[in-house]
Amino acid sequence: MSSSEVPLLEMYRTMLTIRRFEERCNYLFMQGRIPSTLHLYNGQEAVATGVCAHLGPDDYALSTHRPHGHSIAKGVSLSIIMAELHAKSTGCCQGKGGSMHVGDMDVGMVPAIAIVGGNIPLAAGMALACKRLGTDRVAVAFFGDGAANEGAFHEGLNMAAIWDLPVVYVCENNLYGASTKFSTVFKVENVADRAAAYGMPGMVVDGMDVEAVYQVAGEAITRARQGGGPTLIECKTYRMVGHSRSDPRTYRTKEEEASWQEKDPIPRLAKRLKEEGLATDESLEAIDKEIEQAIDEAVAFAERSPSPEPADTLKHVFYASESGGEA
Amino acid sequence: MAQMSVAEALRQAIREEMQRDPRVFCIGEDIGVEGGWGGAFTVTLGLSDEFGHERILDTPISELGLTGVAVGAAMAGLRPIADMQYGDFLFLAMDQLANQAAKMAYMSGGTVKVPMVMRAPVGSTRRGAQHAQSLEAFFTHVPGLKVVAPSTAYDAKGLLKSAVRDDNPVIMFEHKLLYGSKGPRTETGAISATGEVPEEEYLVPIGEGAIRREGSDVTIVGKLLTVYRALGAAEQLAQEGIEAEVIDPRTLVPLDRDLILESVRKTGRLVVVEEDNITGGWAGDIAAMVAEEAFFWLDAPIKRVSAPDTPAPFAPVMEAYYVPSEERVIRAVKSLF
Amino acid sequence: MAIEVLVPPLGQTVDTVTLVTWYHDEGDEVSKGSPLFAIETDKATLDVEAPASGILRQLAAQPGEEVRVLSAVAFISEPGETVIISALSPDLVESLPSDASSPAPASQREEDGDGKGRRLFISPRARRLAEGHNVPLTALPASGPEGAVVERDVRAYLEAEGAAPVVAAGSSITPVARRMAEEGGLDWRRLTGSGPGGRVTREDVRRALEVAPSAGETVPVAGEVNEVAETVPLRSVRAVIAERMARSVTDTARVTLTAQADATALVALRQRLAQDEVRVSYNDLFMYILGRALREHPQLNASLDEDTIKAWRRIHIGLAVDSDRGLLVPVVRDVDSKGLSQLAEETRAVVGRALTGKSSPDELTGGTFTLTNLGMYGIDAFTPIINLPECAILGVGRIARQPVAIGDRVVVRHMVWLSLSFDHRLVDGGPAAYFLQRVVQLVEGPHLLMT
Repeated sequence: MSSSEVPLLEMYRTMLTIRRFEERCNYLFMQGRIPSTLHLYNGQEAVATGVCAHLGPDDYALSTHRPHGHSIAKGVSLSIIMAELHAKSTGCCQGKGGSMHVGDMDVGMVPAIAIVGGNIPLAAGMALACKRLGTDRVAVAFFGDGAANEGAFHEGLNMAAIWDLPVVYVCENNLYGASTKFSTVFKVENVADRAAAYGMPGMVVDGMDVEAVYQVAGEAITRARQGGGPTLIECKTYRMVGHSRSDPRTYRTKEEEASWQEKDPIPRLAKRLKEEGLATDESLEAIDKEIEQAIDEAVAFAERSPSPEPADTLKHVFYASESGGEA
Repeated sequence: MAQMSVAEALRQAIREEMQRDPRVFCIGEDIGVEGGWGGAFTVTLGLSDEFGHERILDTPISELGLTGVAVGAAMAGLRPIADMQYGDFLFLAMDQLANQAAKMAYMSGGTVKVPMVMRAPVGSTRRGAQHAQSLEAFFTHVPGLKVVAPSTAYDAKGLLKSAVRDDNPVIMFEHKLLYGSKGPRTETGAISATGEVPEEEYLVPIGEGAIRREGSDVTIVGKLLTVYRALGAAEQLAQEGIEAEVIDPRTLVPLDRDLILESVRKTGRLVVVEEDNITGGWAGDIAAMVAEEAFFWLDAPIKRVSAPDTPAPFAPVMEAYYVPSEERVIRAVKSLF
Repeated sequence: MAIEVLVPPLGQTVDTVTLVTWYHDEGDEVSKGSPLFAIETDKATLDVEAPASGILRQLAAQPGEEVRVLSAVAFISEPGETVIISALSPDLVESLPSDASSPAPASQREEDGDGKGRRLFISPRARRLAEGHNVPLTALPASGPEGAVVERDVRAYLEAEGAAPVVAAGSSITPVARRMAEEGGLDWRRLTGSGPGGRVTREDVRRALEVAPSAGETVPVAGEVNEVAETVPLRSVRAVIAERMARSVTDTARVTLTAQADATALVALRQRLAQDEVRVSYNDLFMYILGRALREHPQLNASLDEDTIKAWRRIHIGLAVDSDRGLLVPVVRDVDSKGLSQLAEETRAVVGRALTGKSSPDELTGGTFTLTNLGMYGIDAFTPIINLPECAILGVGRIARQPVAIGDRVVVRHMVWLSLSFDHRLVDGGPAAYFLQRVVQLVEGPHLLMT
């Protein structure tokens, strides 16, 4: 695949947007302006970016308790994510969801599922609908290594396989399920080794290399669109920050962190862009500035937005449709 | 008008909805297998011949998975009727129902809907503790789920159709002894809930209860099988000059509170009968609601007639002790006078 | 069953006396007939004997206190029996010190009562009904589960007090009628509502106002002035009796037939039964006879409802009794389907409850015929007023030895006068006479009841 087909610059922008957004969230959290803990995506940007580059607004992406990166990559506006984090009524979930449930169905980002592995059968179901309705839409579920040990993983993948559903399962193996090391809870070396057990292709990819992710994801998504059934992609990646904002990461060594830091996908792509002549330090600098400005605007939007009314607690327990869905 | 059993009425409802709306489909274990049973209680018998195996979708033994698939499919534009072979297995799917289906509309700020139905049989039938529970109380307790419990063929058809058309997750509890299934799937101890079911289109609205018998001396509220216990007790009580009003709420969430409250204001006495363990059960919730809203109309304490706090036993003599009987209902009513 | 200890009546003009002293303490065992307490009028001090043996409970008055005549000042219970506050006379309760600043005087009274802090078990529904009708809670009998006062107890009380029939907890009145009642100083809640659902109508109020004189009003007679010795406002039971009696006389076409019956055989029958330990009263026997006669003459077991004559399938006979609250008519149901002993037992029970104010509303309504016996007062024949909506009433006089002619001889027999008043709107003289004839026949030949 030639670099002219791969949207490298776009992907750079996406990854950097995610990074800067997460950094800003951290800052705001430390300032006490965000009322809850956050599960930040720093270091894993290449995965979300490389996969979502193949998805349109009609495709579905399902994420986890760590959804900011996927949401941004899928096209959810920064403002409504930021407003949601600030618990404002203008948030993507009207303040009802919070950090772990951000999403926007208008762009195919399903409000995230915070139960580990919970999104795996859901993705199969959404894919079933896509297939049954005669579309070539796909569903993509992102989950971590820990989720691969949930019963939901086993049941979801099995059903996706037996029905040849248009779903792609993307496992972001960042070596830790919360604080538990991968090697202590897996007998196999790769999560993707399990794909064979269900009769679907399993692919391992360097999750710190957005181009590699882009390529593998492209194959899997195309296969799904064409009725070839599901794929399990395992992206080897690393979470640069703690599991949540209250995690001092004392279960990881400084050496390990440092070694992964060197594989940071963003500087890696920056180098690649400059080598390809697609960018310069100045142009990248400019992109960074634009991004910071966009984030500034998002924060300003969030800050000037109203809080929900306390009685809004009672709304939306049931879905209200014109045809009288709500009792 | 046709005479239909509950199983037949449910089947008819599914058939009509699937004919009406191509997005409706069934998903569950053993529901469409060629030469199979049509589900453990014959409800889907013959439907796969009519609609094919994609719309009567057999699943592996993966209750969590099939429920999650139903939820996901509903979120993406289909209208699934999921089938849980025994209500007891709902526990395996609890996450998908209580954490995903129930909360999706709310967590998304009202933008995502989950128009699915989950059907599950409940009730003790000599199969042992793990195939006998009445789980309604676990689900009435989850905001975001609608819960219905039809006790007649008429209500079964009408409520299932309403449930399919509702844009929210609806759990329909059916009682094993009320299905009226025939042939090799006949249940010992079944009660005939067979009745007149109109052939023309009709719906039973979700949220509307029914007065099964009018009376002025005591209100008895039951669900599923215990509606029949209450009616049997009422007949015997009438011979002693006590006229009982028997209420079948039909929908447990959202509850037709006014129906119950108006009745208690009239009679001044309430007995709630449930096939479920008494502690933390549904009857306690009804009792508390009435005590709060109609305290000054009560002429006697509210009584609950429930199963004891034990798992369901196997031996018939113990099962008869466990499941509320007409005699226990009569005793409870008389203690209020 | 606990027995009330009442302050005895000491003559017509004494309303209250002073309780001088108790001869026993609460919890003591007392024996019937032994002195229990002493009372003093302005004339003398008297001992009052215990009406029964048992444990003395719940002394409701202290030495030096003024107590109302016929009020209950204590209970005597069986050992181990718990006594529920039920029949403490409202008069006594009202004389207890009340706390003007208390927001809920009724509940305070029930707590403090005699200073012993008893808990009153009353259902919310009953309390609501009682409070809506200003019924003192401690005056109520308790027949409900766990010894609680329940709705029917309040209704019974209200019926007995003459506020019958209470149709719903909080019966209603039309706005016009309410205004009329308020202007006329009438408590409309005591009225029988003739509107739908027992609603009090303008007509009900109008009629009630006609029979209730304003307190203290005197009508000067030309020439002579008569002082009013005593004013008794027409309230509660008295008012209702007045209203109903007047209505019966004005609405019915009342005719009274009298006949004399030879009750010698009946007297002998009663004595014979007593020898075999079967104790029945003459009222029981007359009830039994009426049950038979009414079964044979159903037109006398009927009511006129607007323009429809309703012949009742079942025979429920009321027995007029004179209680200290006034005239009450407790009803015994299905008289013709009961044996004499059963009738006697039920009558005893139902009358007992009426006299102690413990009747349930069912027991004071629903009669299809009434029996009234003035024999104990030495009356022979009289013209009883029909108890609407019934169509007839049998008055029985005294059974007395009288000279009668049998053939050409004069013999002494037990004779009794029977006075049958009937409503000529529904029943003609002929049928009424036949019925009375049959009653006479059964009185004279009670053996015929075997056929």
